Amino acid sequence: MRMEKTKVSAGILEKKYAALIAFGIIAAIIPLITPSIYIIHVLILAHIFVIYAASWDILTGYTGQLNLGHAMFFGLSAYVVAITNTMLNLPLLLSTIAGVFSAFLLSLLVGVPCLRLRGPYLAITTFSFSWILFLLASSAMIWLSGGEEGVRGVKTFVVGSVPNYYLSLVLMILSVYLLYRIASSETGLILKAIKEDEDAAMACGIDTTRYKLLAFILSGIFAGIAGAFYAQYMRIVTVDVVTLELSASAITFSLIGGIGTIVGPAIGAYMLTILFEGFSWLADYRILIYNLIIVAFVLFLPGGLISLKEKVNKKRKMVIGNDRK
Amino acid sequence: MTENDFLKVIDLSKHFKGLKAVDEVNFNVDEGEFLGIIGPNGAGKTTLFNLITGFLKPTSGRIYFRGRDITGTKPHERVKLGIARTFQVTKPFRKFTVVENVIISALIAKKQGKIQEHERDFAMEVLEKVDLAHRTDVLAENLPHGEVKKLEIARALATKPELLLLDEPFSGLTGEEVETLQDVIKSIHKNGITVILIEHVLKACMALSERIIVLNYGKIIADGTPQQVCMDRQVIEAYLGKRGLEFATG
Repeated sequence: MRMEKTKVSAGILEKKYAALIAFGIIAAIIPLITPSIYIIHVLILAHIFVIYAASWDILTGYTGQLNLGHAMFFGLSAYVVAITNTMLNLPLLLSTIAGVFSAFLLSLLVGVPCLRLRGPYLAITTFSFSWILFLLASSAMIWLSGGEEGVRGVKTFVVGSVPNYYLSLVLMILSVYLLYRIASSETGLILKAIKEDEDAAMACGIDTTRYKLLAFILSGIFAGIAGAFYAQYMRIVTVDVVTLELSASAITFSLIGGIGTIVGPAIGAYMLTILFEGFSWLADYRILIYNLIIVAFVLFLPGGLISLKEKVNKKRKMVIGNDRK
Repeated sequence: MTENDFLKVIDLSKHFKGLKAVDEVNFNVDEGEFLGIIGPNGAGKTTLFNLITGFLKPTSGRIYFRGRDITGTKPHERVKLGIARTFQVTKPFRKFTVVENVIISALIAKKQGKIQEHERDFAMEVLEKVDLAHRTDVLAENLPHGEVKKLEIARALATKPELLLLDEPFSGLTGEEVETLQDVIKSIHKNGITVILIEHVLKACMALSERIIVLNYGKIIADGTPQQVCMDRQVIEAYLGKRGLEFATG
């Protein structure tokens, strides 16, 4: 019985790795075939948002706890990197660590009180915190954040588009791989059990508060990594990093890719970032089209892009189940 | 408080606003016992279960398990101590397969060192016990009601409990299903697990229980062997009303 199961999953695993390797090869040669710095720039942003979307998914997609203000981790980390690097003249590596650490602290600050409770508390608190952060950055603490002007002159790890492209590519693959490994482990199964039914999970002996907090911390840290990378790549951090739009995009990326799969939100983020930038000539119409796409997905493919594949698998699974009966 | 007190409930009360769902309840359960809890709808049976398993906090009173005060502990801590439960309204992990449902409990039991074997093997063993082994890879949401009831029990068993609380496991089952499940529960008890059973299906409850507690309006109105409880005037009155009692006793 166990042998059989291991064999099946090994088959799926091989296919997954094949797709990943194919993507890796194509992604690695893109800078060699395109002369356009703009295309490279869009792809770097796509890499950053992939990490950002996947990090949202490990909490909301897996444990079912709704985070409506995910930009707070991304934005706080980006601002901390920019401010410590430019105003305190901290070395970039230390600034980066400080940025990610601040996202970690924020996840504790919000998570510890909210995840003990059930209900809409986390959704309300994450929404409020991201809104507060936006207000601080855009007006109350403008002396620190520079408002629309932003914090300028952040140092970079590597100079130029192409080196940043490869660095972001490696960081993205590493982050998504780690999140995916966690999500497919025993821990991931426990997180999904909490999403399915929290009472039942408790009755199984799961310390649900602890696991929800673990997922929230992971979520915050990886969003913080994305934000920190963004700050050093863009070299400027403005209020864009804490907007409600950015928080909402974590949800739309995941919705379109397929919530609760890590890979789905990653694919969603990658494709939508490229689409959105690629159709910039449509000006404001693209927001209309973008939202129409979201509505279409919610209506016709609620499982997201990744569910196209899983529908086939599920059919296979059910055939096996009926077979045994 | 002696070590050999298995479960001891002292002056336990739970009030919801004005309603006294459980009202100063006292009882003991010995290790290895099979206790039935019956009572009309709204008598406070499920509330009592929620108090014992930590899903609700009592308004007053204490609960001791193996001489230890567990009144303030959380549900997962009580599972660790060996108290497991099923739910009256079943709560399967719907998108999980049958075996995955059980593996969740087994995983935690393994982390706590309660089982040595691989969690999947242990889960399969448990599924054999409740007669669900043929459904291993079916999604829980595709199971018929009777088998979901069994799955609930399997999930509770996989936590390796010493005390198992079953909340109406027979509700909604056909006569045949009741009989097979009765055998399953009997064998669980034979394997040394103490069982407390809430049941509306009185026939099954009477057949299984060594002792029965009758609750009405949150209070214990009778406590004894099934035979004693059946003869009790207060119990008959609680179920049939005063006129029913007059009719029954002539």
